[in-house]
This record gives sequence, C-alpha cells and structure tokens, in this order.
Amino acid sequence: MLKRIDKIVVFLCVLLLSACKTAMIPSAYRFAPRNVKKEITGSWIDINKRTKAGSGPINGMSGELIAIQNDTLYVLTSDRLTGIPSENVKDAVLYIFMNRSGSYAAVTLLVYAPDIIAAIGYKIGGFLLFGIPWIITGAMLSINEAWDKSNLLIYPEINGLIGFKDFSRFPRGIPPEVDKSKLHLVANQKGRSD
Amino acid sequence: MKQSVAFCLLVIILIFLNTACSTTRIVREFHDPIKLNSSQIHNKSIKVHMTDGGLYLLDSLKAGNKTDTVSGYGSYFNQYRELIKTNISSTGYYLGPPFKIPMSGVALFETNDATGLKKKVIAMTLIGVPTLLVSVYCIINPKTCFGSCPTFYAWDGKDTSLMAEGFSSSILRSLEKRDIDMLYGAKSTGSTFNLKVTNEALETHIIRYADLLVFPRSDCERVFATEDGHFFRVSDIRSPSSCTAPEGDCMEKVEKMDRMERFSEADPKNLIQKEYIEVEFKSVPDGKIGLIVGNRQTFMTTYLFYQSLAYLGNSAGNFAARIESGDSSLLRRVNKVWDLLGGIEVSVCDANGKWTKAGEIREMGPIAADIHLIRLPETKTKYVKVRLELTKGLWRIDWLALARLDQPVEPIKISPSEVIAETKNNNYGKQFQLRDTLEPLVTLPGDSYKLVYDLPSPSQQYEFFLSSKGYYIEWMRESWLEEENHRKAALLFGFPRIYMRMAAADFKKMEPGMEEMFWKSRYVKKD
Repeated sequence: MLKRIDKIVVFLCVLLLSACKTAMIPSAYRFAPRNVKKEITGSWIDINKRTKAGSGPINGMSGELIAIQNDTLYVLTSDRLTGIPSENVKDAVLYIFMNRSGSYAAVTLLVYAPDIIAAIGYKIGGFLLFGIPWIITGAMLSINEAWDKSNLLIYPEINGLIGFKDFSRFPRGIPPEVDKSKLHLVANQKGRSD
Repeated sequence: MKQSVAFCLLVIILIFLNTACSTTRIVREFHDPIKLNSSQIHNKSIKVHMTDGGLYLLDSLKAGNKTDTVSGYGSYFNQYRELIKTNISSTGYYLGPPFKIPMSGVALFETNDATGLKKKVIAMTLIGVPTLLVSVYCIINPKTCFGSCPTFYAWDGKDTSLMAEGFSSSILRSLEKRDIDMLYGAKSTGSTFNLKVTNEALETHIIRYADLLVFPRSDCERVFATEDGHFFRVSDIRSPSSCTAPEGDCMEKVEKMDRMERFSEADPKNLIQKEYIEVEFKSVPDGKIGLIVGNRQTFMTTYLFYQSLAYLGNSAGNFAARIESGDSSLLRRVNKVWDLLGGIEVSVCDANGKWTKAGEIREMGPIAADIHLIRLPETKTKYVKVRLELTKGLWRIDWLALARLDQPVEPIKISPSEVIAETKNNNYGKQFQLRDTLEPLVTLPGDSYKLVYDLPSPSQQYEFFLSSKGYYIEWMRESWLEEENHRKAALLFGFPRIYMRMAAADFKKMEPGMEEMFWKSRYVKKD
C-alpha cells in the first residue's frame, strides 16, 4: 500500500493542476457563481474573427463584452473598444462565471492531506483507505465541474450570438450618453457588497 | 435484509452523486420597468440598468411611495463603472437614506440566481466532515484503529456476515491455542459451507487449521459448547424473567442475540473494578441446565495490548523472544495482567443465599460475539438466580438464557476441501488445504481467502462451529515507538494493579469513541 502512496499523490496533484487550468482572464472578470449577481461589468469574451476568404491565420481577441447592437459585437480590450460585425465572428466563448473544479480539487486534496501525511508518517497505508469515499466524491465533483460547460456561452456550437447580449455591460445597447473613448476595463469590482 | 439495505445505500449514493454533480447554472432575468410588478422581484441582489448606462447594484428593491420611483440600498456606478456612491457598509449597515431611482431613467432590472451550488457544497460536507473526523481521530489515537484478529465471515441466509474471530489471545507462537467459536447464524449453501477468512489488521496471521465442526440438528434444538470444549444438545431455551445491572434493568438488551448489547463504561479510577449483573429465571426447565451467554469484549484489552507494545517500544521484539524462548516468569507476568482483568464469572445462588461459582468465560476478542454454555448445578426448583461478575467496561453481553441440556454430542469434523485466495499476491492457491499444521496459512494485511467445506448431507440442518488454531503477530507502528517507556512497561508487567489505576484516566479519554471508530476504520472491509 505504501508503495502506492506516491502514485496516489501524483494522481491527486495532476487532478488538482488540471482542474486549475483556466483561460487568461483578468481577475476582476473571474466571477464565482455566487458573485455573478454582483458583477458590474459585462462578461469576458474570447473571439476568433474570420479572415478574408475564410483562409489565413485566425485573428483572435479577448475583452469585456460591452454590448451587441446593430449586428455588431462591441468588445473592450485593454487598449480600446472594438466593434466586430457579427458575420466576422468565426467562433466565440463567453465566460459567465469560473467553474469551481479547481476549488473542489483543492478542497478534496486538503481534506485528504491528513490521511496522506498520516499514511507516510505512521507508515500505515490504511489511512489512505479512510478517504476513499471522499476522494471519489471530490474527484467526481471536480471532473464533472471541469467538463461542465454550463458556465460558458459557446458560439456557434451551442449558442447563438444573440444570447451573448444578456451578459454584456449594456444589455440594451450602448447609450448615446456614453463617451466610448472613456470606457475602460475594470481593475476590480469595487463597491460590491460581498 | 442486508442486501436490500446495501442496494438502498447504493441507490442513495448514486442519487446523491447525481444530485451533487448537477450543473451549476446562472438564471439571469431581465424585467422591463414598464411592465414591472415589484412583487415579482424577490431576489436579494438586483441590478438596475439606467438608460444613461449607469448601474445601481442594490441589496433589495423597495417600491417607493410613488409608483414612479423605486428605492433601495447598495452602490451606484456610472457608465464607466466608477463607484459614485454607496449607502450600505460591507457589513450591511445602512449609511444614510436609500437611493430613490426614477422609473423613467431605468432601462432594465436584472436578477441572477445561481442554481445547483448548494447541492455540491452539501455533498462535499456530508462526505468530507465524517471522513475528516475519522481520520483526525485515528491520527490522534492510532491505537484505536487498525486492529483485529483473523476474522471469519459466513452466509447467514441473507448476506455474508461477520461470524467469528480466531484465537484473539494467541499473540505469540508460544501462546498458540485452539479456539472454538460458534457460528450462530450461519447457514449452509447446498452441499457446501463457505467461510471467508480475512486479515483486516496490521498483523501477520498464522493459521494452522480452520476446521468446521458440524452437528446435525432439528428446528427445535441447538448445540452449544462449554468452556472446556464439550458440546451439548440443548432444548427448551428460556429468557430471563429479570436482569439487573448497576445501571438498572437490562432485560431488553440480553433477551435476544440481536447485537443489542449490555455494556458499561470502565471505572474512572481503576480499570479492574468489578461489577455485577443479576439474572433471575422463574420457570427453570427440568433436568440438567446451563446458562447461555452471548458476549464479546470491548476494546479495553486491545487498548492495553497496544499500549504495552508502545511502552516496550524497540524492546518489544526482545520481550517477545524471551517468552518464545521459554522465559516462564515473563509469561506469568503477562498472564497476570489478563488474569487481573478477568473473565465473566458465573455464580448461582443456592437455597441459603450463598453464591457458588459455576464457571467462567475468558474468551478474548472484541470483534465477533461468541456464545458460551455454562453448566449450572441442579437446583431442583423452578427458580434460579444467577450472578455475573465482570470487570467494568470490559465486556459486552448480547444474550443470556437458560436451557435444558439434553445430551452431550460429538461433532463431525470437516477440513476445508478448497482454500481459494480472493486477493492478489496471496501465496497459496487452490492446492493449499489448511490441513497440515506444519504448513500454516500465513496471511498479511488485506489478504482474504474463501474456505470451502463439503457437508456430509446437503439436506440436513446443522449447527456449525469453527475450530481454529494459530497465532498472530502484531505489527509495531512507528508512532508507538514514540511512547517507548520502559518504566511504564515495568509497572504494567510488574505491578499491574497499580498500573490499572494509573492508566484509567488515559483510557477514559479514548473509551467513548473506541467502538465506533474501530468499525469505521477497519483496514479492509468485508466486501
């Protein structure tokens, strides 16, 4: 049993690390599910634009979805606000919230850690067996969460672009009073009452 | 019954996991201010999108006195998402008057509900907390966990159940002895009877033989064994008319062999403090009679055994070797400890009110209850009063009954026809028969074997006993070495009466959870 401990630890670390992989999204736009109701911005979106004649390298960009109006997606990057005609969007992924697979994997490993430490410290492999129901539960939740795409809107495979509108900063379109040059990414969601 | 319970548990776990693995979704709804009925919005957090691009993030929405305004506490951001004003603190206190928001300036009301989150948290809590508790308990008290002797399972008509534990007191080769255990609820399966023997502890088990002793019997009779290894066919089994222990009436716990046991806690000042249980029988059967006692030990002996190994520490091997080499004085010291703890002494009250010892049950082992027959002197009356004298907190009594001893009987001894390894890495295959006492079955933690016995007559109903012989060697745990203390070891084996007083307080700290934790932490489950 003890010989298997290192393999189990490696497996758990791989599970944890694989669960931690996320898109390159600024922290202010990485919403936990329960905090979505308190976000003050649009959701983060990754877009791949079509190139001319549908060939050549794909032109990708990421930013906050500001609005969708007149068949144009307005995406705010760290540089500027860009309007992309919807017909130029090859594919897009919108992150409504960050899935919790990393958290579940971390909690699973943390709760299991005493068993691993005890198994190594006491040289009693039986400690590892205590946590099997927990490891199964935690691993299933983590894997399920990692594979679950309900936190995303995916165009064109699953969603239409019209559905992205609800997760923009201005769901009714950019108001005329807004000076587009003054729009900027939010560094933190200050003012939310957590 | 147990199969259906297992099936129900499996279904519950599957439903539970299915529920826990349900998708987390955000249900976002927009409400048009023109059609808004504020009673539709019950959410605690509401976003109010203004026509100029501004945003109110409110804790709740209240309709104003006028229908053309709504109000609420929270924060207001301009269209560039700069915080303009907040009227609620991070701890939820209101800081001034609420926002009064003109409906004419509202573009949309937005609400968000996260579904499926709580189920996952509940699932993780329900599984994680008990796991953590057991782990922490066993880390703090590793002696409580991972202990047992050769454990035997058999078919009880519905499930494979724990039936017996073999030679619990044979902790060294020199202490090896034959052990007879009644397989009380065991049933045969056609022409064969199967036993499963497992090693569920950090021990090496050396089993010389595991023979089945069978007695043909009818529905209305049973066979029980006395402490000296004689078997009696008995009938007319009667429950006591009263059972009185120090805590009061104990009838309910002893009238059936149902795993509802009478036990007490150890004395807080002296681990060898005795107690008495008095049992009355008001309709004694005619002829020779015997007291049937179904019992097992608590984990007190396991605790003391492990503690003695811990105190001996690195000298434990030397200590054992001296006993193995024939150091009789050392062996006497060890036996003195167990003698002080004592067995269950059964006495009968004679016509003059004097208690006369009828027998004593000394079988050790905390895992499987065994059933013993104590022959009682003939009273020639219809009333018998029996007293059990036992160490407090050491014994768990499951069944007490009186029966008429019809006749002594001799068993049919059956050796296993097949010994089948059920786990990988076992050294023995089908060819091993557990018949040659010079070539014992040696098992290591996690090993499991199926023993197959051919019955003389498939249609006959039998009483089954297990006759096993062997010994086991407890593995020293590294954590125990930290407690090495030769002075305490000397006290335990030199002056056990004093030690039993000194150890009481430490034992009492662990006593409440020992039974439960042992069953939760067994090294290998039966299936």
